[in-house]
Amino acid sequence: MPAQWATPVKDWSDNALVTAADLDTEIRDRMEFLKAPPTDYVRVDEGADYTTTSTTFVDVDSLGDPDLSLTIVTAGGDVLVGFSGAFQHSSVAVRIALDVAVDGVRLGGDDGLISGACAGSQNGYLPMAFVAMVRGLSAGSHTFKLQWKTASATATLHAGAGTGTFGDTHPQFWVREVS
Amino acid sequence: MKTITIQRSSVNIEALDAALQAVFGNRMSGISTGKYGVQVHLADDATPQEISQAKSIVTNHDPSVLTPEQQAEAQRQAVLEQARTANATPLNVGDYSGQTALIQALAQKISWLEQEITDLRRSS
Repeated sequence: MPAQWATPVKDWSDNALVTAADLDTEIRDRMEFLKAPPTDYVRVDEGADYTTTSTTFVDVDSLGDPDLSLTIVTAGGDVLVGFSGAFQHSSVAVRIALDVAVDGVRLGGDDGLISGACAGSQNGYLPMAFVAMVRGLSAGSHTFKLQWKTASATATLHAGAGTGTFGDTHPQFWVREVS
Repeated sequence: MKTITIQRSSVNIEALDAALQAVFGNRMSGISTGKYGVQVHLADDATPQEISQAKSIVTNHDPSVLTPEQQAEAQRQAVLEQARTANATPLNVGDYSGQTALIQALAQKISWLEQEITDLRRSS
């Protein structure tokens, strides 16, 4: 069973008897939790890339096994969520925007957390990465879904299919409680 | 938004998007593809008939059929390849040594541009 976090409750005083149970609860269990906080992670390696023509934010892939939808059970506090991946677009200088929906609510504004465009040429390559902090999440289970949209035409996220030149890239999406 | 998923592998995404846009217009924000197949992103209040129609369009989609833009691009690429083949031999400025100074200057400029384009193509 994964280590559970609990706020230290024992007030130590001089000459108090330290028992094995005290050390296990107050130090061991909490150190184990800090070493391995709630974390979920996916490294994408699929036979097909992802594409979208959607002009409103949609899940990149939340259909499972594996996908870009992560779930952790937190002790309550701050969470870091991160992503890195390589994109292409069928048109020059057309934006691709990324966001994360936490329990169905996007973190970013109208155009997400981050956006970019392939400026050089049609079907040019565009790496995008971000780390976002989600502050003060309540204790419990939370779902994080990577979402995207494009201003027009077709955006592609390389997912390990190896299409095109330098197309064999593998996105990572991860979430970790940090406090 | 109501997203429906249809399992299929080969898709001409521009053509399929255009076909669905022609039917649904702003009742659809777009389509997505991945290992799951095709997703059509319809309005929140999409009717069962609209959902059925979207599924039918996706199921019956022929990825070999190009959009007018794709056909035009294919034609443009074919014309470009023909021109490249017809002009494979670099311009020889010396062939214009008996021409007027203006023609010789133009030949030099064209030769220079030809070399720059060749260099750009190699580095792209």
